[in-house]
Amino acid sequence: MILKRLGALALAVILIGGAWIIRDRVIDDNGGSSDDDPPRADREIVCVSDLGEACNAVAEALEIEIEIEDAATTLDALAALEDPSEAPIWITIDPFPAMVDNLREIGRLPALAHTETHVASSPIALVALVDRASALTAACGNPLNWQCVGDAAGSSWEEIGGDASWRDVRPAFAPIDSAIGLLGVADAVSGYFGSRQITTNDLAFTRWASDLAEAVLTSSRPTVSAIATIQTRSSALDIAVGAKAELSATAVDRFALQYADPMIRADVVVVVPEGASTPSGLTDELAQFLEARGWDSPVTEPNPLPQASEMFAIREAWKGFL
Amino acid sequence: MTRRRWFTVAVVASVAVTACAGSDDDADDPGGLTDADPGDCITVDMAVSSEKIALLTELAEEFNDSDEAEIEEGCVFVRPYSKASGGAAQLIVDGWPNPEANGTRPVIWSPAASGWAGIVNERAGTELAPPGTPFMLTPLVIALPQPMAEALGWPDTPIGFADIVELANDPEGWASLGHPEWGPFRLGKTNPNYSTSGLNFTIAEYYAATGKTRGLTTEDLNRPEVIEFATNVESAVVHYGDITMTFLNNWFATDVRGTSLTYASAVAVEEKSVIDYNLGNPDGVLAAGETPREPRVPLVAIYPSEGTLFSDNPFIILDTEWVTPEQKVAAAAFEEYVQRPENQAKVLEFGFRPNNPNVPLADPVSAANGVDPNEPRAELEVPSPEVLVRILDAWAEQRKEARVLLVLDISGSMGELATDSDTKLDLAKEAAVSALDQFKDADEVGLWVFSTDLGGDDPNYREAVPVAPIGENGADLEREILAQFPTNGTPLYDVTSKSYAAMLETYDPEKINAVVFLTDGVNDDGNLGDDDDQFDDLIAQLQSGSEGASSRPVRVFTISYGDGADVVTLRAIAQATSAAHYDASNPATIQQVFTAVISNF
Repeated sequence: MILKRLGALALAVILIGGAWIIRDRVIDDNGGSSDDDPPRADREIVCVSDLGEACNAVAEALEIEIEIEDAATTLDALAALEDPSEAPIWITIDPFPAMVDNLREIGRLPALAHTETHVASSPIALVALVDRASALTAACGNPLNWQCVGDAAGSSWEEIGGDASWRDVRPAFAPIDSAIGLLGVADAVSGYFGSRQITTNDLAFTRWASDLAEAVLTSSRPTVSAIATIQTRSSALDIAVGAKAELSATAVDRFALQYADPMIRADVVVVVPEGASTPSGLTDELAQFLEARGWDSPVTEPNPLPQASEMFAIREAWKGFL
Repeated sequence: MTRRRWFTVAVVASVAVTACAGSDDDADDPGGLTDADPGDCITVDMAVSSEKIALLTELAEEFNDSDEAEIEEGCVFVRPYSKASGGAAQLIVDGWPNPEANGTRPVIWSPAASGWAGIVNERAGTELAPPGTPFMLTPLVIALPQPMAEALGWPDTPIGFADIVELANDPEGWASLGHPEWGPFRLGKTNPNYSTSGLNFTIAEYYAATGKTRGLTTEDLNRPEVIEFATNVESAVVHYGDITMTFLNNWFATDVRGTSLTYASAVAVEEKSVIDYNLGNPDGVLAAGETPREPRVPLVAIYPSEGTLFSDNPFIILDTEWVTPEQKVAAAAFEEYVQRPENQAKVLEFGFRPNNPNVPLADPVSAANGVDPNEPRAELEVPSPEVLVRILDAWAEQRKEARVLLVLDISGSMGELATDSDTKLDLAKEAAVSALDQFKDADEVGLWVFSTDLGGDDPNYREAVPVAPIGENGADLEREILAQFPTNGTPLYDVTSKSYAAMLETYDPEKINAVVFLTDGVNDDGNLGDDDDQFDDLIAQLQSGSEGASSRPVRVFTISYGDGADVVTLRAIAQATSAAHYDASNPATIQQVFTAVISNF
């Protein structure tokens, strides 16, 4: 009898203890908390402007603060940061974390130890009205040859088999200080060379890129996203370069997506500095929102991007052309 | 959303409503929230272009009452009010003087187009208006009554600025297209110093003159053939003005009488205005009790084949000395709010195109309302700020000349004090003298003063300065205006009739012919018994001269001054000549009102 009671007591302890463990480990990890308090971040959270809508939605859902700023602004701040313990959690797009490492190495500052969680992915695409996309494919192939696209930029559509009433070929990128803006230009540059191995001081390339930049100046320059601009105001530009996911599901009938070779991707990552932890549910909320907006699951294959150091060269060269 | 989240939202919302009480008092005010009490909240005053005041008022009211208006720094209270883009641009450069008359100094400025920010920064020599994020779009179109558009080949034939210009310059007018009954081609266009539609049309005019679609330079503007082209276009203008609503309201009023086709042939407006007009709400603001009525003759939007310009409605948080860091943070909270998809859907309800790609273009931007969601196909490049400023200077020289008779009330009531030291007449004289600077030398201006018992051939008025080029008589005008003093009664009907008749008799088809009539009273000529007949005869006289294919339009712009003026009569007089009535019931605003009136020339 005593043994039976002891057995029942032991079972009760196990059940109660198990319930506590389940509550702590399972419920809390899924976004709830024992006190119903909102999840808290022990670090500032910064998000690139390209993902501003997603980050605002996550901030509202989790009742947390997320600062939105251009990728280049955070990059410069992190590159010069003296105290690694002040590094924020950064919701960004590859290869910006590697670019921070590269800049800190050049500046002889210690690397910012961190972990990265890949959240979503979307290939860099060229978006155009269906009729213009057909003309572009006929002239520049499929996948698109960026050297051909760059040569056509600024000249008449009629010259590449399009309609004269479309006038000049006007490509556009997001601002170069944004993550997708830089990836778009990197897409053009790697497309020109046909690989991730690029040489920005090549004379023929410099001439080609300078002409492309001049043609870009004829488009109404988007303040955030070229693909968003072409959807709301298709008369402002002809070819918008950005992440495929930026094309709204409601616009797929009017616009066509094209890709270059090599096809590079915008990979969304959450960068967590060593010693920091993310508010529970942040990564899941972000992934769910991005999926609903057309982003793909994270891709594990290598992204054929130029090296981090070359991304700087591309950024600086492009700024010089503009 | 969890139950706890709902509870939090409810609590925060209730706190926000309590802390920001006052907005509900103004819920029915379509003109903005300028008089709303912000309580202890951070006040964010917002100057917005007139065509979007109804939308911004609604969004601000919802925001002020929401938990989004609760930020770390406290609660936020946004107060939009209407201000013409060009007027606000100059005020920002000038440090926004006299807020009582000009409106409170704004934290947020939302002109109709980003180009205005460039003009402000170019004129100020520093960046007072940083780049703002557009939050809705609407293209510049040329609105034509449908029968006229069809006569030009719409909808099958593309129509461009060049076609409009050719017709405007054809001495046969509409007769060249088989419609002599429509008379000459009459173009409605606002003053580019004040209105975005006017600015954008003027830019397009210079592009058409050069054959370019981008890269307009200051050198282009100085070429003789470009100057001649622009001068010819301007010669077809009916009159100018600070807002497009004047044209739309006049068009609508003449539509009621079945004479809209002879008021104006085409007006440069934003696409949104065509939608409003065809829905029976020409100024886009439905006053309490006003019921929309579809026009007899609908308008159609022509998207010029050369390309057009967009009004992108930027949300600009000003970087001026009167904007605090706290207000900038508060303004950013409202900016984030208006960009949300649910609020961008509201943008569409008001006839604008959303700037959020997740809100697809749909009704009312549809063919049923005279517009085409698949247009425009091409855009003209917005010129550099330097070129924009030069365009405004060039326009001042090339605009249509005016013949204007200023008719000034000097009745006894004008001697009442408007401030501690100035009478109403003192303020009106000061404003009238300032306004003279807005004319160009070739404009012809004259002055009549009116009251009773003034002596002379006609005791009801005196011709103080005959109509002549202001380059010659400017000093006389200034001296005579300043010499006036209050006298007797207000023979309003008689002098309106005589001043109108005098200008009609000397009508010059090459110029804008107009009377500017300022009065603070009601008709008071010593004989009450014939007032009704006098009024009916006056309106009949004004209408008969202003309508029809061969009309010689003399516009009578009326200003009701002070709180004793007969607003109803003055409105009727202005409407009878398809002009506009201006309200200066607060005498402190007379300077701004005079500026607005003179913007018609």
